[in-house]
Amino acid sequence: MPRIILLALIIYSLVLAGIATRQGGFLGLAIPVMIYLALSLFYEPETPRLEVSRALSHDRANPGQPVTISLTLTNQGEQLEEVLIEDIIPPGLMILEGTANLLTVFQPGQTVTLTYTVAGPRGLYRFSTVQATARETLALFEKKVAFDTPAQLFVLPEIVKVRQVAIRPRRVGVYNGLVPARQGGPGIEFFGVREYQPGDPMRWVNARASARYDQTLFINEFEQERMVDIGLILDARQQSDVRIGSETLFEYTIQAAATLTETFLGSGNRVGLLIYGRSLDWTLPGYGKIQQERILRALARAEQGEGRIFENFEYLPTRLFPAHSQLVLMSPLLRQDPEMLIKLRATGYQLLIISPDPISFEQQKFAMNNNAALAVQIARIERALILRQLTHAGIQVVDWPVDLPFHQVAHIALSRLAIYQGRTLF
Amino acid sequence: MKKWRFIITIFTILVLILGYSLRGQWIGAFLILGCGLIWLAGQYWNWRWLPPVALITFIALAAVGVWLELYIIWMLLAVIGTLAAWDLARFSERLAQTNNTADQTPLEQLHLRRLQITAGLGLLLGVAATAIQFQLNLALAALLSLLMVISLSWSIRLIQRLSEK
Repeated sequence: MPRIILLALIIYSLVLAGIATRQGGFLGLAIPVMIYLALSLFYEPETPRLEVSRALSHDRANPGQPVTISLTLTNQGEQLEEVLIEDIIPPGLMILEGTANLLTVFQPGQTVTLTYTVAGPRGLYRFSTVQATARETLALFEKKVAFDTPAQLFVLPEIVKVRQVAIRPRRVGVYNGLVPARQGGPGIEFFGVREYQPGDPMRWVNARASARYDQTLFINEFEQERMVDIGLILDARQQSDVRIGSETLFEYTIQAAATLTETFLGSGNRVGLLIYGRSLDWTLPGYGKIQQERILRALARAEQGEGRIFENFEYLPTRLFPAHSQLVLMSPLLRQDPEMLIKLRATGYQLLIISPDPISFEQQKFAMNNNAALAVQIARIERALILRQLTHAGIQVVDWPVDLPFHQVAHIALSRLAIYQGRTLF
Repeated sequence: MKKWRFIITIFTILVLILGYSLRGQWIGAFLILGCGLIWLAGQYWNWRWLPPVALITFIALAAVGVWLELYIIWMLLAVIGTLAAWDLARFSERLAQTNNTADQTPLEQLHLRRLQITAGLGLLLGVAATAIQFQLNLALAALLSLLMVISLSWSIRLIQRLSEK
């Protein structure tokens, strides 16, 4: 309490000077300071008894979208001559309008409202406490109390629209979907010709084939389209990320994951998410809008981490995913990764890798000189080798130069035509 | 609030200069003028370190005035003025830090009223204390002084303990 100590020192000094010089005038000078201290002590504030509630205009928002936070406080105790109310804002959020604190006189039973607007980048923001500091008006004494008013705000990752992502896993589900199932039946794409069987629709009759044989009808078969199980794997390993200033490559990885989640679930597939970083964060597979919200919330709170166990993909828990299902890995890829990914492919999983290019990300942030150009060239060769290794093992790889928008890259590399043409590497 | 702070600061400086110059202490008066100008400049440019320094300096100058046997009433007024200016500086700082007050007027009114009571009581009791004079022998004076120091120490410790709760 430096203010009290300062006043006490002044009083002591004046009293001691009075005693030393035997002059009553010094004691007279000390009296106003003593009165100041005494009145402060006399009006010492009570511990604030407040009823605090918090309301958020949205509990989920997009990056940069304003969210209004309202705190309603009611004084259930004595009058507070001067009370400072401070809301503790989670780091990362930025105040756009208003302030998160309020200084006021608080009468018994009075209600005040504190409103402010925040916005922030992707993340999970937990509001915990509101702090009230009551002081007497001379502010020598204060009482602090923290009131728990928990709330959370999800700022979901940005989603770009990708119309279709062509995948061809070996195993498909029983329900109809949009993924070609390698089985004849009702569908759109031509699959083959077979002999007519009673019950087949007449409009499927292949006239040309039937004309070649006497008394035998042939019908066209189409490729069935079914839903599939898709396991999204997000690489949240610290060492695979590139950070330049406040920008990270990880955010691009998240964006790809969010976009693919929306596309896959929109096509009726069953999607689960595994965040592979400091620990394993597993969102159980599911369908539809609720699942999309679950995965987006998991992506909103995703953070990179360093764990010695998860340094490479050796401990990827493949049992979480159904055998022969489609796995989609979002990762910038490290030198040691291909070995494990090729093993994964060998066990029968269909693997698609979306790899945000760390070199182009880093390159656009740095001024180029001869040395840097040489370094970029070497890094590019190294990366090309990694990608080629994966492609040769039958893994579908999309190399995403992050200066291009994801939907553009996905349209070129993940359309059905691209898959049929074997154009998997961007 | 800034206006009141400025008026009180000017008042304090003038009172102290008057107190010194009435007894021909011109060097002291010029010293106070210099310190006063720095104090005013600090208020203008919002030097946050200045209010406690000004409090100590001007109370010390008033104490020197008492030691030089200048008119006590001016010194007392200067102490009250310095205390009030220091207090208002802290109050303005609190208002500026929060930058959001539900309604500033009740806060200011309450504060000014409390400050007026403090100043009035301080002046009254201070004048009374300097006006009343009685003779004490050395032993009794020493005993009273000791009692005062002990009780002050006890009060400060109590205040600190209360404020830490």
